[in-house]
Amino acid sequence: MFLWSVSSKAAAPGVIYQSIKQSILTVQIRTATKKTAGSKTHMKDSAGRRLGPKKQDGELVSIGQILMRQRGTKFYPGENVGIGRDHTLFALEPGYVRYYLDPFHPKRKFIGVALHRNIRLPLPHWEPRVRRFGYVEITDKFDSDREEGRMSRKEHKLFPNIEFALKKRQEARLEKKQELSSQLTSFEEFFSDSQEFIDIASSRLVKLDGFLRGGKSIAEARFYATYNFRYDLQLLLKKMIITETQFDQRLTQYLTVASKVDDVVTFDSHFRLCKQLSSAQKEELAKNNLSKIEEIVGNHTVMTRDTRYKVENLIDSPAFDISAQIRLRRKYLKPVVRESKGVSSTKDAVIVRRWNDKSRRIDTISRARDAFAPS
Amino acid sequence: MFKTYSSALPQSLSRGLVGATRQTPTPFIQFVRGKRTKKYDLSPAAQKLITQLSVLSASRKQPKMLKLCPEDFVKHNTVQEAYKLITRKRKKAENEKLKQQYESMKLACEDLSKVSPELFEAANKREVSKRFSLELRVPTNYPPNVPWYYDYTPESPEDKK
Amino acid sequence: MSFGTGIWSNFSKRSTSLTVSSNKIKQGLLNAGLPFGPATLRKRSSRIKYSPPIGLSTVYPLAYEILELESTQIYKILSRQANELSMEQKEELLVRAEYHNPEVVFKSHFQTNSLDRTQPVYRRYLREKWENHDKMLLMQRLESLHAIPDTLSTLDPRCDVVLRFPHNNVHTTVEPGQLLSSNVTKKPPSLEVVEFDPIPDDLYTVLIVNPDTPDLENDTFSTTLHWALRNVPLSSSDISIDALKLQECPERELVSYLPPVPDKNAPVNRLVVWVFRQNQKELTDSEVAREFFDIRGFVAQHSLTAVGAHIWRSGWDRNVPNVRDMYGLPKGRVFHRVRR
Repeated sequence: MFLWSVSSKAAAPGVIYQSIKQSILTVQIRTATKKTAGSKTHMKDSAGRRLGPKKQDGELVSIGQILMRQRGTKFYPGENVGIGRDHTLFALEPGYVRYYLDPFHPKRKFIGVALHRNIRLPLPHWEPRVRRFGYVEITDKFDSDREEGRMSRKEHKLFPNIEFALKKRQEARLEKKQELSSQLTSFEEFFSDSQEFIDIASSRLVKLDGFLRGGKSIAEARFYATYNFRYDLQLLLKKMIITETQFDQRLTQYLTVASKVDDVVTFDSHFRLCKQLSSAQKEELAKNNLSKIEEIVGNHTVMTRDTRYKVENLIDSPAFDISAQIRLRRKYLKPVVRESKGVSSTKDAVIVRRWNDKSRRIDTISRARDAFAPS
Repeated sequence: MFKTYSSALPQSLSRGLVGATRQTPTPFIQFVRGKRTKKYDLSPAAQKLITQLSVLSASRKQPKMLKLCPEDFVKHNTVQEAYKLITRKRKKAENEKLKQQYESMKLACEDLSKVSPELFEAANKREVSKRFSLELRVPTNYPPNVPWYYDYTPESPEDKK
Repeated sequence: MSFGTGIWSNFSKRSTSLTVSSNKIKQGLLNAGLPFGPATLRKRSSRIKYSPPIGLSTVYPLAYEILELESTQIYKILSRQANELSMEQKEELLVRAEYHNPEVVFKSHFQTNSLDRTQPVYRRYLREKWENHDKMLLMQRLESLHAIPDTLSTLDPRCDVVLRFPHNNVHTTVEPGQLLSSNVTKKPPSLEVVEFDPIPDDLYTVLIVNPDTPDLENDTFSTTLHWALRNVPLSSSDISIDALKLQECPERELVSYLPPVPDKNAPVNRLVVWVFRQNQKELTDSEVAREFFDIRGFVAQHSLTAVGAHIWRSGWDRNVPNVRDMYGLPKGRVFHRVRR
């Protein structure tokens, strides 16, 4: 409005142009539109990553061939297919590629490898899997022997220790057998028996000892010792190393030895050889020992080293099983006499400080010196 | 307000002093460096305990699990089972009763519909601000002492005044 | 009614296995308090330190009375309707009558080794214990090692199968899926089939199969039968299948035991033990091929019901040649270390 009012006064068009030029055009500036430093979205396109399927359905692939390159799991690894760090799917077995859906995972697409051309995937759920063995037998004698003898580094390093331990164990077993055979000959029932008899008997006793230490009962141990002998003998017969007559002869020999040994000897609760007692004999012995213990402990209020040994010996008898022995030890071989008996106020008393659970305080008690059993 | 006191207290940079003076305008406080000026409601010992507990995690503040000997464990179980049994029986009886009440109401309604359909219709007529039908009346343990107010007239607004 | 007068203290018709044998513990359970102190605690100091929870002694007699009354009513139903009830219903009622008896609860929680399995209530407690751990473990091992469906399609375990190799010094049970050395497995195992249902006095079949025998001709695996037992009678008192039982009647061994002797560098072999009920039918079939054994066909042919299973694994070790030699088997194959 203002401009037009000016121009209406001055008639010449050049003047108008000049005035417009002065008033408007001179203030317009063309600024640079190209940014020099660049923006954050500039220059960020990368080349294509060449994603997508590399093998089509039905194609024959070998182990390790890539079936699909993808971002994320657009396809999941199915039968005989593995998945890589960047979700690349590859074949784990040679076979035919299958693209399939699995009713157990309705939202997933799978790529699998079928081992044979006629197999459709997914395989029936309740049927045995179709597996490929894939190992090749070494037919060359030298190579196969070498491969069989090959050890892993770990096994190789351990092997001397294993052999040493095995040897030591065998030696210990032999030693135990000799010890047992010498013990066995000290029983009068075996005085007249031959060396062969003692040999079989002591090897049986070694077996029994092992079974008992492992936690079997004596009856079970005896049964399985016989069973193992018979089983080994049957295998020898099957391999035709021994004949039928030899089998019968050896078995009857072993059974007679076993029955005699089982009748005469057994192991006590500390796995030492001892005489086999009938239940009546056991009761009798237990009764005897108990009365003797009562006698010793009743006469001597103060436990001496001598009485202690005597009671120990009486308790440690085949008449008592391990729990009975523990009970008797607790009853008769108390390391400290009860406080109602053994408290003293004389000078040579022993001062004992102990925690009292009731009062929750430490009590100081003076005990007589003979309240403590000698060890 | 602040200004007036600040002129009186040139050492107002101290920790609790400014706040204290602002709330309770005491005439003058001698500032001692390092001395605690904040007021606590609790005793220092209790406060110390609270501070220590606040450092501990929640799982450590759980009460200790009851240590029962096997006999007492069995007894505890027995008590719980007995309680469960009683509650189950009680609930069953209640449900049974409510079911019976509902059944008898339903029967009564059916009888009414056979005897006089008009009355049944009238009884089940949809009324404004009555959301549920008569059959859906909430069952109660006992019928009301006065079953029906026959001469009921709503209070007129004039009576209220 | 008070302690010692109700049905739970009456043993004229109930078994004495439903009570605790130790008098001290029994008195602890049949009194409001603990007259002998906490007798189950071992250490004297912990016995002294122990203080029972507040209020338990007042409320426990009431609880006992309520539960005992319930039990009395159940026993009444049992005696009144003895003829009308089915076997399962009777069993269920017997369980319900004793399930909350404190003495039974104590025994089935703390004296599990000596439970009387003829009593339905103890069988129920044992089954619950088995279902909470051992059954789940077995199914997990069978599935993750693909014994299911490589041997049979699936299994609904009804009994616990306890496996051990008793010819060894070490007297332990085998956990399902364990990798055992060839020395351990060189002689036949023994089994315990622990049934939890009311014992059917049925005949049982046991198969041990190995689905991992290399089949080089077809470049795949085949199934080998390692042991087959048939017509083994089991009952509630006799649950074991061991050498003693098999010695009595050798015809029960249909196929003799073959120890697992895997080949060098072949994958670890799975040995799957299947226990079947024969449904009162005798198995008379005598010809069974050990190699290329079709277990599904065998089960279908004899209409067996799989009730239990077990699994162990065996790989090649340095002792395998010795075991082969012991059984007179040919020298084992050696495969290339690398799979092609």
